[in-house]
Amino acid sequence: MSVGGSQKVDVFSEAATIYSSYVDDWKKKGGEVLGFSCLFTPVELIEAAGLLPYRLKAMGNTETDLADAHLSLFNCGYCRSLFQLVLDGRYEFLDGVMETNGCDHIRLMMENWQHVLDPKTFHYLRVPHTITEETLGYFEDQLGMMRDFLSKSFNVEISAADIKAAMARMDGVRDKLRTLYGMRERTRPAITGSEVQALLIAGGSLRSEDFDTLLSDVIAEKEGVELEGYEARVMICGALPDQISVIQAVEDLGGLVVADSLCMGSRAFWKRTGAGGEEPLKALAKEYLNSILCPRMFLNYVERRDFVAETAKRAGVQGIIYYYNKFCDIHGADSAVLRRDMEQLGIPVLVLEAAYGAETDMGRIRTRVQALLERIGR
Amino acid sequence: MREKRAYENVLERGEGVFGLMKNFPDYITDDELAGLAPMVNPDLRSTLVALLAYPDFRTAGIKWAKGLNVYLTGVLDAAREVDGKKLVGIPFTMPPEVIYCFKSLWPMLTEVVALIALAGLDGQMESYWDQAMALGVPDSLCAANALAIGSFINPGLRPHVVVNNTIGSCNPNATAHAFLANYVGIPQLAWEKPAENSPKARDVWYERLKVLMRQLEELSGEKLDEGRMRYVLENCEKAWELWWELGELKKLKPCPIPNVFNMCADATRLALWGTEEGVELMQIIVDAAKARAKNGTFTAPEVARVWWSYIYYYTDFYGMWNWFEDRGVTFLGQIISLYYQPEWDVSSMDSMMRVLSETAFDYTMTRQMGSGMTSDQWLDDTEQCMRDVDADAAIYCGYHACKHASGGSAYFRREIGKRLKVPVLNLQGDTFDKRMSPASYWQEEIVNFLNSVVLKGDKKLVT
Repeated sequence: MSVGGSQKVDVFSEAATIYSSYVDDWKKKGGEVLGFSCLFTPVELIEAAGLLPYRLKAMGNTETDLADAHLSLFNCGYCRSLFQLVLDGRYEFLDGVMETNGCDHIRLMMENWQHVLDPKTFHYLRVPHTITEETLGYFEDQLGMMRDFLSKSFNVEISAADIKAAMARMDGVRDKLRTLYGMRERTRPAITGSEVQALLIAGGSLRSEDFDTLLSDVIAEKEGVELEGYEARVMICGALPDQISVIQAVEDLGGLVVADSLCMGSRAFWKRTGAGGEEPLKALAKEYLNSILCPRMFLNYVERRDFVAETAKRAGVQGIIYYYNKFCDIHGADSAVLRRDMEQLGIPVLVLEAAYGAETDMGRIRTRVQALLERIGR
Repeated sequence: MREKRAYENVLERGEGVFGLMKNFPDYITDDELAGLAPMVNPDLRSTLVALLAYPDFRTAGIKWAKGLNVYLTGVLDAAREVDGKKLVGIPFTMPPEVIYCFKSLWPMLTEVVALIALAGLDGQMESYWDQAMALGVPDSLCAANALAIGSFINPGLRPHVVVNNTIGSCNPNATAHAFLANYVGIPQLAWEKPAENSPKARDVWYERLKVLMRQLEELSGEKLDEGRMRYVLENCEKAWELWWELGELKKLKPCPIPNVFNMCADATRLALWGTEEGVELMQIIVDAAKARAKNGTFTAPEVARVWWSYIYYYTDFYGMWNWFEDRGVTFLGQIISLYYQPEWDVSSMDSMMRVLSETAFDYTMTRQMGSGMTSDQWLDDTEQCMRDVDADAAIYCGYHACKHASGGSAYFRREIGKRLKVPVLNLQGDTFDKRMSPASYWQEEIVNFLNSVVLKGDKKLVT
């Protein structure tokens, strides 16, 4: 998929490249890049510091020999693959790294990163797992510490106005994503699931103003498209950090992925309502804790379940695929409850647990997807 | 085929088996033990023989088993709402004394339920784990917690509520308890650990304890009572004194505490802290260890002193603790033996709440896994402990569920080697499922490790 008029951007190529041409241009202009891995990282603050927020990719890498000397084989493949790329020097272009406690795998991957390479510019943002008066206040303090870290490390003043401007830009991006998802959910969808996934991955390492432009171009070019030839409407849920191949496999087999609840996808933006008039750090704390529907959060299963059910209904979904990487307990346990509840609503669910990036596993995955498509009577 | 009752729940099956302990005399002879052991299932036999193997600790073993039965009876009574009691499910990172502050509540530790299954039930936890897997629970989830899930989806007794306080420190554990709540429909109360050990984090933790206490008041229908709290904390203080005394005894060479009683002390801390029975059990262990130190009735000459940098294998009591003790290998403790007693002030309700909050903040695993730098906190705490007891080696039981621990184990091995000049064995296996790692596997691995890099001269162990 290429978009953007005279200066075409190959979205799939951007998504599949670590040091992309965009990053190269940014660096050549003197820009600095901050890496992060979890959707709970408030990119607004990174942007307000004038940096490029870069969502770390493992790129389906399956060579993990160096990483395995530090992490165990029971740590998830995404983290081991990512850490291998770090140890291979593929992320040397980063000017700083931001850790969040997304899960235990990421925490220990980041700790080992510190032990082995000791990055000079490193910050740990503690994100609560529950939403209470105390945790909201705590998270607001944490965001203040993150702002101060960025300010000090990159020698830049970050005003409330800077943060609000970044929040407004990100709200614009989220509005466009909602528009795009609406086009995806149409009776005759305008865009495939793999194209959306590629866009989201590419957007993870673009400044918001450029991602906004890219999304505008895609929306304009896809507006009149009406996809045909698919045989079933499928929703994909779970954890698919930077993988496109699974969605491509579903779509090659005749399913069309018309909706998702993935950490790169709707889970991160659908419920976000915008900055409002509050003090920006308080607003960010509320936005991030209240609106992101990730199973790393506790006491909010019903909200997550209802979100999936409502999305499935709205998008006319005939079946759900819940995908997660081996050793991801958070999504594994979530899948078991969600499958039961969605099946009770009459929506067939296929749970796929697979090794991260293992193309050799695709045969098995295809067979199981075929079985789901047969079950939903394509 | 095994005869089954009308239920397949660990609690009720455990009651059937451990209820027999009530009738045990205070002491039995070698002949009586030899006559009794073949009458019970192999898993219970291993437990009984482990606890009763040494004549100088036999009374302690019987009393400890009876003490475990007292705990189980409390669990069952609360589950059945005897005298209006209610049962509170908690993970092993939750100090039980918080729950004992309420007369009408009783704590049910998920991992102690697992221990009951492993210690006495025919087939241990296997059928429960299988049931949990059938629901779609990932096989990489904590087996102790999966067991509880498998158990409580069966009809029968259940906790009235689950307090989830591994949120923020242990994903697999917190996730399993949340699953139990979401799937089985047991209400969940959360006490989240901020992922650091700063003063600010301690304040947030304390404020959340106050909220939790209000929720427990609502559950129990009982107002938190200052006198009751003081009584519970006074029991804790007595037990702490004995705990530290046991710690001093661990430093002696040879160590006078049988391996299995180091584990029993840990289980007492986890299940009965704050009760009179907890104090009594600690007293029994300390007295027996002091007597052994005085009498010199050791099982075998001590050839190695080993610290478990993670947790033991619980699937074969005799094979884990006695088998090694018979060969002169002392197991001094595990990560679940690491506790920190806070500044003790029971003068007011507020000060006692602080004591509880601080105890839980620095509780085993919460302190390490819930810190800002898990691997360093684990390393520093373990190093100190290993220095205190002068350990020759460490063993990391690579329990696959514990992603945080396994993610830091290579670092731990490197660093402890640098700091203490002692070797570390990293094992892969399952602490709670012998199908994954039977005793013969870890016995051979540990013996090979000790023979290769720990034992000096001609001293060699045989399997």
